[in-house]
Amino acid sequence: MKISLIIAIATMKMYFRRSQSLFWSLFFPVVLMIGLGFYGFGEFSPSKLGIIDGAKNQYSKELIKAISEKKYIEIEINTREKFDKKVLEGKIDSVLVIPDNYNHNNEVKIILEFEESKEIISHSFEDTINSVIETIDSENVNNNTQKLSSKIQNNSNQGYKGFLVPGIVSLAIMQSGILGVVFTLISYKTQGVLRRLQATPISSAHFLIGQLASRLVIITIQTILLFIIGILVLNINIGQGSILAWVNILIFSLLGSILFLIIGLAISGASPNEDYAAPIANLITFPMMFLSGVFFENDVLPYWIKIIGQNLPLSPLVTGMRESSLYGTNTLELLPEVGVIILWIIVCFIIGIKTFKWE
Amino acid sequence: MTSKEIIRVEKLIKKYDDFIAVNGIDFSVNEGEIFGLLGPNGAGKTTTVEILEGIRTQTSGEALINGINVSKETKKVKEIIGVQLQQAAFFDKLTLVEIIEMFGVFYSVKIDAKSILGKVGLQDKFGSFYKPLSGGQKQRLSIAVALVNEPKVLFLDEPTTGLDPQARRNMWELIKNIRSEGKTIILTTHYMEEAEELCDRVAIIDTGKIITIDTPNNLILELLNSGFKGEHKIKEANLEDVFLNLTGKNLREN
Ligand SMILES: Nc1ncnc2c1ncn2[C@@H]1O[C@H](COP(=O)(O)OP(=O)(O)O)[C@@H](O)[C@H]1O
Ligand SMILES: [Mg+2]
Repeated sequence: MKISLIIAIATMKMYFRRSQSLFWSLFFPVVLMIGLGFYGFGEFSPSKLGIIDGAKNQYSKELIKAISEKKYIEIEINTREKFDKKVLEGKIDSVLVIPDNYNHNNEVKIILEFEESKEIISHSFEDTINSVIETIDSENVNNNTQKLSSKIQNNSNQGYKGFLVPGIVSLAIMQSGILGVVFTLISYKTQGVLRRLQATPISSAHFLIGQLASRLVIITIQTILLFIIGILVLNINIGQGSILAWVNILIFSLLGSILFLIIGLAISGASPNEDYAAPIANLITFPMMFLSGVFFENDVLPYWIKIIGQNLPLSPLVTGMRESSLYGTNTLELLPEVGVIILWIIVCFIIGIKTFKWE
Repeated sequence: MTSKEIIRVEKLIKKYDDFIAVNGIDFSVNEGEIFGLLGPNGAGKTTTVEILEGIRTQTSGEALINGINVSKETKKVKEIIGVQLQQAAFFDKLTLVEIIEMFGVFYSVKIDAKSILGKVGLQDKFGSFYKPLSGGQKQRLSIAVALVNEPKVLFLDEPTTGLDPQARRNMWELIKNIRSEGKTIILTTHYMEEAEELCDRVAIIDTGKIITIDTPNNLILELLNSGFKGEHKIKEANLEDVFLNLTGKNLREN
């Protein structure tokens, strides 16, 4: 215990004494975050109207069909839950709520919900929908049964930034976890530091636990700093103001760090020198960077690539981080992601133990 | 000098795949001795001492240190020996004091890092990092680290290879001081004058076998008695003496 602790403290001291190391672990993520976030890459989708069809009868279908025939509106029919998230992500501009009792006989109230920042586009939706309603009413015996009212809500949507930041934070956890450990351990290995430790009575577990512990602290600091930069520079908000979201973020940060640190240990244990370690590390990290939903939802990928992407170790971390920071989803709902990460940890740990060599 | 045996090596064999690096070595070392393993590069010196240190495992044969079987109770042996490896390094961004203190924790001993560093002549370097040290300073740090646990036996694997004459002589003085504290020292070298200067007994080893073991004096006498004549007339001084006379014996580093 004391041995692991002193190794952890020494490792941290060395980390912070290399003045570049913290800088580089923050520099790339911040550049990506600010570059892509400000540019608003991904926000140029056409204006989109969400529809919650409460009635699901012939009348509501007729209404939806009439709206969808208007070429300049893209619509999506979905549930309240789904739209809550999509509005947060800025993927839906406003939501039209068709009540349960919608028909052409009684007076019914249809509601168009939107946030302040989407007022302009929503007013054009409003005009379109009103004209559709008028047409339907005019063809009907009971005139003027439908009323459209609008409901303006406070801004909660964060657009692409809110989607991007947790993705980048997860990516940074992977990079620091794998690359940090690989470069340190491989240099210890080639210089003979590990050999010298082998000549002392300490066990290799002491040393590895010390390494792991120090890097857990370093990556946790990195995660918090990156989110703070996201809040200050990109104006994102975390978990809709819920403190629990921060707890979730820390849980995922720790689990993700453990996972990628173990992958890093396994790579450095199996490689005799950096000529092996660097390509292996790149081979492992590169696909995850693009297939695990860091920069964009991987729905856009071809089916098979999407399936592969969803099953890579980074994916549950990205999902967990994003759910926590963007939606403030509670921990229980994220248990599947937690489970998958723990499963990966076990798998990588076993592979690592089997392939580890000190020289 | 007592003659209590502290190291015993019997029929030691080490194969790397098909290659036999150590081929049936036997020797024993007495407490308080400086015992030299002499031999050309590739003779099997490092392999032999690293088996004794518990870093490599032998293919067959036995090694005992202070009565403890090295391959069976490796951890116990590691606790009573000090090790200076031929190829090793320390954490580059730790200060020398931090390195010594860290190894103190590894051996669970309370130590005064500064006095240990002072003992090897690094008192001016407490706060500097490992990386910028000169070769001789790195070797002396390595010895300081090996002394942290007050070892009964100290292993020095080519401690003067690559050092300039001043640093080599300084290292010899240091080794003599450590011996005077009663520690047993196993020293490997391929410098004959070093063995002659320091070792009580030497084993000459080549291609994994010990050719002979005796005191340096006896080995020289034996050779002369066999009718050997040196190629040169014996001179009163050699070029190294000239070099040291001109450049002084003081250490040149910093
Ligand atoms: N890990 C190893 N794998 C294969 N061969 C080795 C290994 N270590 C040493 N050898 C070989 O064993 C022989 C003895 O090496 P070594 O013990 O280092 O000699 P010395 O220290 O006397 O120079 C050399 O031929 C060397 O190439
Ligand atoms: Mg050697």
